[in-house]
Amino acid sequence: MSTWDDRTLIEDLVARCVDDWVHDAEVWGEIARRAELSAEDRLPIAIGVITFALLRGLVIAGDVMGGFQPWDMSPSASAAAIAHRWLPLEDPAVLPGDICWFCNTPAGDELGRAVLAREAGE
Amino acid sequence: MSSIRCLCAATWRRLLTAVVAIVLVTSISQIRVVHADAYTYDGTAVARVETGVATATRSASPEVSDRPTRRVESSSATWGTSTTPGRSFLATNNVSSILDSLPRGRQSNVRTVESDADLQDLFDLFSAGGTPVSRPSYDGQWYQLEDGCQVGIRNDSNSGGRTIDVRSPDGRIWKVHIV
Repeated sequence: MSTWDDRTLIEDLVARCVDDWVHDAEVWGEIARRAELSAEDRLPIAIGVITFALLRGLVIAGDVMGGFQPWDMSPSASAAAIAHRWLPLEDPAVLPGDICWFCNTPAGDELGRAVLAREAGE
Repeated sequence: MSSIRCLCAATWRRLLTAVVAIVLVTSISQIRVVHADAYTYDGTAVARVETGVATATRSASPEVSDRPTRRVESSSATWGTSTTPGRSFLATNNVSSILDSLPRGRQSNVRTVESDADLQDLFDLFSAGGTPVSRPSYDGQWYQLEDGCQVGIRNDSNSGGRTIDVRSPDGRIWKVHIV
């Protein structure tokens, strides 16, 4: 039986996005849940996971204000914008939405639903 | 005749003593329950009992009309420490214990309630005594609690309806969705 802990970090991101928009702090928090790492170690992992998912076309970045508002920029520009916002922070343990939110693309949604189906034993 | 009167008086005294004893035992047992001083959620009702006074009770069934008056005190949650790997702050108290007792969603950090009214009650419970924080980038209300925990209630979610976002002092995140 597949469980949450069998997910890769990318699978976890898109599986979460099936149910709700995922915020920056949630990515950060999942890394914290999996391993006791310093903030300095968590940040590059978080940015790496997000960049990977954006460049693979699995998620898009945006803001949540009266619904999800996607940023009007390319995946690579989104990844760069997120890094530019996040890296200079003195305390990188952000609050939900400080940097951005994520929404699945159709490809991400397909992968996310496949993960949930696997966990449901389907 | 007088001995019969004496017998009756003694019987009455015994009966009265027994009634007083029953009343006392009942009262003491009620006080012990109320002394629990904890939040509880059994899947159908959110409640907090405080020393000497039951302060918050709410049925999850919207048709129930005789709900007790709700008075929420400070949640003052404490995120304890544990040696259990990966669950360092899930101590058995307040916000964390309530989250732990809620039905789980499909994600490791998601808990669920049955209605928007339950969600609002839960948020009131969490945020009581907290300090409102202005966060223009967050579409909802956000509170800082005394123990370092932060909670927000978001106006919208992808699954529909409002959602509670909780951030523990060590950066871990929970969401509470409406089923």
